[in-house]
Amino acid sequence: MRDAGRGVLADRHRRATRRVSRLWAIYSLTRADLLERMRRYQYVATIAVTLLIGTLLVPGKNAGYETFLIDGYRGIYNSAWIGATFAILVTMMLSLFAFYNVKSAVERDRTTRVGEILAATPLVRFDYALGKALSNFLVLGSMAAILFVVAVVMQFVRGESATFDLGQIAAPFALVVLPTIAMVAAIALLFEMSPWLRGGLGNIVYFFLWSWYLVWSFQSEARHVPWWRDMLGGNLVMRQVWAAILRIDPRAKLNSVEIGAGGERARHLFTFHGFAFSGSDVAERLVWFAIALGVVAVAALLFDRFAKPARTAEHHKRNGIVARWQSAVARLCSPLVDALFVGDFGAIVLAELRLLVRGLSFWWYAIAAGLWIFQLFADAKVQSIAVGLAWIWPMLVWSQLGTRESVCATEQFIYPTLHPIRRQFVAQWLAGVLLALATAGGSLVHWAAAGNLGGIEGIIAGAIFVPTLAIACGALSGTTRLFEIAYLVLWYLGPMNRTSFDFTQGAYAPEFTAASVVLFAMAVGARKLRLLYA
Amino acid sequence: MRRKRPPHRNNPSPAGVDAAMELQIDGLNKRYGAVHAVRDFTLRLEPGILGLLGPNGAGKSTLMRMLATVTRPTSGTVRFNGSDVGKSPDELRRTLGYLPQDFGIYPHLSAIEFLEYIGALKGIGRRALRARIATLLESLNLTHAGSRPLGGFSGGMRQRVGIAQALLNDPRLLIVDEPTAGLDPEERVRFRALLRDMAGERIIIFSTHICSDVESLATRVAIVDHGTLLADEHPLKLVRGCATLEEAYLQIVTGARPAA
Repeated sequence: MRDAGRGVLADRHRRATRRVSRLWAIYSLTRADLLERMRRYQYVATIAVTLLIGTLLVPGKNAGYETFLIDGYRGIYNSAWIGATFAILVTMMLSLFAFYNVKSAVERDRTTRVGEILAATPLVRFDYALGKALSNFLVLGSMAAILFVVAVVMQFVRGESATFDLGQIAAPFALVVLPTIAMVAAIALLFEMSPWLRGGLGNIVYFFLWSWYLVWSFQSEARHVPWWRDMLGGNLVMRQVWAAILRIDPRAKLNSVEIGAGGERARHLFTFHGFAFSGSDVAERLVWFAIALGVVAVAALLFDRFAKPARTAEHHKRNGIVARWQSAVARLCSPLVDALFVGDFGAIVLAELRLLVRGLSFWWYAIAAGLWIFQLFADAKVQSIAVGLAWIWPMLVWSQLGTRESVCATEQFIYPTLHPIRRQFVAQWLAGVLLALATAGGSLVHWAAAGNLGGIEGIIAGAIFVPTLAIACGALSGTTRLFEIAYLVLWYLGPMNRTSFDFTQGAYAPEFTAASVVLFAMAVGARKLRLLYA
Repeated sequence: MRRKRPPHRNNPSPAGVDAAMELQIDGLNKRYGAVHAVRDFTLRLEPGILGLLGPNGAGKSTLMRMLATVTRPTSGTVRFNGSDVGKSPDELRRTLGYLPQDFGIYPHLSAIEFLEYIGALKGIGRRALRARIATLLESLNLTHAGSRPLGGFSGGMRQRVGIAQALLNDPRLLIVDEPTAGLDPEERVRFRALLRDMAGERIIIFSTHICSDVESLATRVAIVDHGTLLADEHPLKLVRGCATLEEAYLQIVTGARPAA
């Protein structure tokens, strides 16, 4: 009997020791990941940008823009209004841009090849996922903390209200921003664990999912929506602010809501006295932490423990079919290619072009060809959309520009070559431009046939601008993500919505050409720095 | 009361040795699509040092990745002390030290921070871990660099950090893939001495292209080519009739001599 009791105690002790050991492993994993991220210069740059953006969220009277207006109403900058403004803007900003910033925790273990060492330890899948998600959460939390400090400081800087109430700024941060970043941290991890979503395709999917969810959750304006339609917490803020406006102006009609840097100016100033969060409001927000934990558990199920080799034979086989198809086309086109890419520099451009399109599937070319034909026959009014579609297709190809050397670890081969910037870097950029011109060829033929020089000018300016943006983002950040998110936003605002960001329009060609010159100079500067410190 | 294991045993003794310790590899196969990386590999290992020799692409690293539970075999089994590693890999992982051929580090962490991280994942408590790291850094001549970021380490220093992480949990099964690559002659001698000290009570599997390392260390040599085990012998038996192990190896791999 006594032995049996001792056995139970020993068993309990073993279980307790194992629990402590797991907690210690999760803590160490989170700490190491966090330290590794925070000591990178990209983190310092992110914090600097966050700080700058924070100051822009509370514009002065002469700034020429407002960041949060409801039907022309803006609260005076007291703690409550600054809390509301920061909550709604920070939740939107962090849920989109910061997603791309943190979606690298598992990728880092793959690229640094630390993963192979981790795979041979008794580390539990869920513990690994939880540690990485916590690290994501803390990185996002550090951004939110900086924005919180900025929010406090900005109330005193603007000086519209002398009454300071820390709780009125802290409460919306805690209830709106923190659950959002918990979800973003978990979703970023889920995307990384999924073989289909961990790359550039996942970045595109997230952008569209985020856009759709935002529209869906805001479409009810200030009416109450179920908690599951308000992950970002925007509805919670809007409802309370709108209720406060109705109290001072019962006849007010919700005609417009402006969130972000819009040109509309405030027509009425009012005093927002702050949030009154009910028990159910708090519970509905806290549910998102539990859901985030569930997402982490799903991500853990998808975790392959770095078992899959980088390239499988199947991949080689699939590429073999495309390679045969490509070599047949190359044989047919070789006289033309020889004539076009003459000389030493021409050979480098051709090599860069081949590197750029290598590995693309037959279906990639088939869809690009379909989009080419669509441009050819599309009406002049939808040319922007036709070219926009043709130029979203090669986005993941362009995102290699400026990053391939660091991603493929070929820097040590490329950098010591003769004039690596004048020859290889420029050739790489030119290859990107040629790809843009080739994929928008249908539109060029369309405008040429119509005798519309403005249209041709727009395509050429766009074909220079997009790869230049890619190579600048790649050279500056060393990763593909900066270009992917910057380009997606610009593409959505520009060709898809035909605003002044439309880089395919002849009317804006001078502006985008000038932007290309600036971006190219930045790209060359960044590459020169890498050459100096490689 | 639980017996506390010493952080490092310079003088191997039979005490604490698992008398029944064995690693049984049965009909192991690994396919990557059309590529058959490891074919019907069978071997039984007891405490001692096994040197794996074979040309590039012979399947040594794939075999080691499967033994280290990183990759699952297409077919076949690996048993550690009778327990099926495929079904319960954690039994083996708790006592495994693994140094991959092509491993990475976090460049912005110091050697101590990196080792603390890996040690925690291996389930070593904080206090024991600190003592163990200090001992290993000293054994591998890295004490002076322990607080420096790994990004500034030379290739040889990184390799030694890799070796240190493999030894953190005082493993009973140590799998090291080309451990002496990148080490200078002095460090190679030091590492060989370290392995020799540990050998008495552990199963050590190491792959290399340096035949002199195998000759001076291994108690068994396995020669692998095209994923197949060509020979499995004591180095002295393998060399019989040849001037050196290198000559014997070349004869076996080129087919000039039947495998032992």
